[in-house]
Amino acid sequence: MKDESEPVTPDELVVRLVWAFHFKSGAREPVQREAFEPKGHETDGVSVFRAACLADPEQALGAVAAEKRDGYAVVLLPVADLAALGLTVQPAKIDTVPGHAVLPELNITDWKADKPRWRVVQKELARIASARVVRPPVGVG
Amino acid sequence: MWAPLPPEVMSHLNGPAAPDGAIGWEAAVAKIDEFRALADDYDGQGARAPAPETIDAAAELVHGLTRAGVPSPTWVTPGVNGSVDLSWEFGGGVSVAVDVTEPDEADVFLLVPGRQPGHWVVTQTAAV
Repeated sequence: MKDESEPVTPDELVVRLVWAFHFKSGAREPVQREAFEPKGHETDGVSVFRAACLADPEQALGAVAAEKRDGYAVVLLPVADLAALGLTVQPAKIDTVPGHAVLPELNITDWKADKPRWRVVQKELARIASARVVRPPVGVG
Repeated sequence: MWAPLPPEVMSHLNGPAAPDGAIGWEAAVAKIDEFRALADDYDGQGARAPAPETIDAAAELVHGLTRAGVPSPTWVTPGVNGSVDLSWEFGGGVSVAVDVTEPDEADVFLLVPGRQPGHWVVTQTAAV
């Protein structure tokens, strides 16, 4: 396991938590592009977790309230694939779970300013994540 | 009443290719209605629920699309910033999306591989 202080390397994977509404079980590509839409408060970029800093990817669910965890799918994205889309992974330490990071380019301000560009990126992220589902949502609480 | 969707978009929606995994208009309407029960932070990470007026507007848009003979979408989901999103996925990576972001505004996207993404903003005017 890597320490959070170690730099992010291209061979790493990041974990993204995908809410059940944005995951269609049984679909050829179950992750929807909404899973990569910045929220209003995400001025620094959307959240991910460095898998190398976690005991297992599902540890990322510790960042969410317990009653909501079953509502999330856990998916992986290669850092190298993110880089190919012009996205970097910037560590952003939080208290609850190690390895928290953000994708600073995919922030609410830039997303609103150029929705067509980011629509293409989001769909590609959804395609990449759809091929690496660690676990689907268990149920929506 | 919503302005018509751009002709390029309608040509794909009403084209010969059916959308992948279309859910049926009855299911789409039911899904939109379910969004009325959502509250802010429905995902525990700050997602904003669609406002009732936005949901009403999405329902009105759906009504117009069914009258125009458009096939039902592949997905109907709430966006994380208060929108109601409809999307149609076709073969070959082609997709159409209509995101009702406000009671009187929707973002429309047409993605065709190898082409610049198309983006329009359509509006709804109050009935006179």
